[in-house]
Amino acid sequence: MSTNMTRELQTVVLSGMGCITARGDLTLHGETKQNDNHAFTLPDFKLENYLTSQKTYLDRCSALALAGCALALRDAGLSWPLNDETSTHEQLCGISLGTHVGCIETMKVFWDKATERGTRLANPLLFSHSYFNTPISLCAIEFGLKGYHTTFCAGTQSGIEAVRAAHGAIQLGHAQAMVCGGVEAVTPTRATLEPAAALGALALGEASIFFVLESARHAEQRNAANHIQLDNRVLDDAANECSLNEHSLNDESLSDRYGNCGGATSALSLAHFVQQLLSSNSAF
Amino acid sequence: MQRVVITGMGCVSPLGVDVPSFWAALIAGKSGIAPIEKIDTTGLRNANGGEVRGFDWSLYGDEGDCDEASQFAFAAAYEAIADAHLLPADLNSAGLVFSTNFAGAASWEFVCEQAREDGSEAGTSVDAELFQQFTPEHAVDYTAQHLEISGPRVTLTNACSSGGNAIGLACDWLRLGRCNIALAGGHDGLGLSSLAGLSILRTISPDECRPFDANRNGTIFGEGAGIIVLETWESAQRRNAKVYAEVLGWAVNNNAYHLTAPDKEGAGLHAVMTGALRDAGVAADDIGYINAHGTGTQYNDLAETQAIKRVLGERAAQVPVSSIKAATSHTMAAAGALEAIATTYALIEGVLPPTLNYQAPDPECDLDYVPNIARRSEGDARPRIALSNSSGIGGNNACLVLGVV
Repeated sequence: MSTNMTRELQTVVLSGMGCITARGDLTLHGETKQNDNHAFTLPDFKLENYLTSQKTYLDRCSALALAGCALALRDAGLSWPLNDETSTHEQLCGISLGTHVGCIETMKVFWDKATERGTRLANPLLFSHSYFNTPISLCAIEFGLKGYHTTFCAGTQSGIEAVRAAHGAIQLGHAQAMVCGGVEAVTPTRATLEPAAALGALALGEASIFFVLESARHAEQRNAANHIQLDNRVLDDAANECSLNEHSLNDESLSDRYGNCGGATSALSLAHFVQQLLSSNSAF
Repeated sequence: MQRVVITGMGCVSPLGVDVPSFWAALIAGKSGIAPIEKIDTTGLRNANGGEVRGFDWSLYGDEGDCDEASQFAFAAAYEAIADAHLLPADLNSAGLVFSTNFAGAASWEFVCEQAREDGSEAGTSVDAELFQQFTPEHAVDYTAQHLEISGPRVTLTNACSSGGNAIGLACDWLRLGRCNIALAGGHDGLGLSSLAGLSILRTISPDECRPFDANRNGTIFGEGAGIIVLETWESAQRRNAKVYAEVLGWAVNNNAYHLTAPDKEGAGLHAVMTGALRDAGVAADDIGYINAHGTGTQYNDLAETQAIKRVLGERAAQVPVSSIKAATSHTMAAAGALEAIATTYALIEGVLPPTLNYQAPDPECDLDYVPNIARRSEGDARPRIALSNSSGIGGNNACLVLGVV
């Protein structure tokens, strides 16, 4: 049985970025919002600053993911829902996301309550919001992302693996456009449990870092604003240098600046590389 | 672009703790579903599950090394490597794509218990090793470390479509040259924390799993692992490896509809099957068998039937479709990988695994579900290309297109 071995790989461009960090928000095309927050958390984060739709319940990790996606899509000049009922497979946009512990807060609240009250009285709403893949599913629903879809849990490499998957999906024609990146939240449960583990040597940080990737053809067809070609070399560099204690940012390590951002760490590293490519003097 | 073939398979399942015993039990019409012994099932909708029995971790590692879910993954990887006759030099640069729904669920419950008893903000008495054993990446890290596999590795989590998703992603890694050999699949263990949630969502049948039957009322969950060795055609030829089948294409997507409710029209399942066929460069007319997700829930089985009918058109009634979940139980992230193994064996042996517990036909689910008894397919009826479908909570769908070589 033979297969279509002569497929042409698509060129991939980065056309939007949405970074929400303790040091401020950053996009590719818009203005950078900086703040004088010297902590690694986002005490003033409000989802309604990024998204108008109302939510009944969200884990903080999901809320950060929704906000980061919205910022990145807006930055790329894309409005949502991205896919309507008339979209063909070739037009479908997808999402890939990396996180280390995801909705661990809701996971623990769900299990603590079920332990206390008995499994018969477990809370279905909490359970459905406790999956590792809950943030990405909520993003797919919110933004109409019906295409390629995967969550990665690979420690600090989670975010860059999500970007790699998105890059490959576009190269191979699984998707024309992808939202991808990494997210991690600081919550009471993560603060309680993660210090006990290896990553806990550093202060915990939180961030939501998303990119919009698309095929060069797709970007051209929709007249996307300034975009940059993204090749595997950039992804390799970001992955190699995301090591929490080695990455240098103007004599300040990534972890000194942002703390341990778990699954968002390598996406932060990529954002820094993107900034270098753009020769910007922004907060990054 | 490289062709991708399957050269080894390994599994731990409720039907058997290796591939030969899994396949033999499957085509003999046996079920691995029985009363769960290791968990207090009080309060759950059903006390039965697909529990792995007869598994001996001491053959592979030491007690306390890793969570049971990771043990299953490691043992399945070990079998797959032996089956593929991979040497240490082959493994050194191999990639690993593992997947899980609930990671180390049993370890998670212990960690939560320790944190509750500790009560301090810092959780100083929480066992750091136990927390690591809970994390999704623990199985892949443990496997890489103990089998000295140094290539790229990742764990993905895409609910119950994870296993198929992992095999598809590994296929792309090989196509794009990230590695020449990859081990891919899924693993999950039964835990009370996950069963409690799945039970309260009413996905669990109060009696038994009856895929596509008119009286179906839910699924039965279980545990296990399935790991497949994927390899570029060139690498397999160079090693003179036994080739089971070719991964012709795949797709993954999301319904973007609801966090827990299925898309009743099956639009996402239809899109993922057409996407996979497009990726494979294969026409719907070439499909000879479909291994369905077939959970035994009202909505999934109807939506999947409708989606298959849209994909296959007039041929739908002639193409056998079976679900092995009444035999294996729904093994969560392992399901897609175990079903890919079953689909591969169906292609190479020409025997279609049956849909057990099928008694009452549903007028709306009117395909050929290979009811209750395995079927030998010969001549023109013998499939040369098959689909393996997976879906999961959150609206995820994955589809693999497998073909004989």
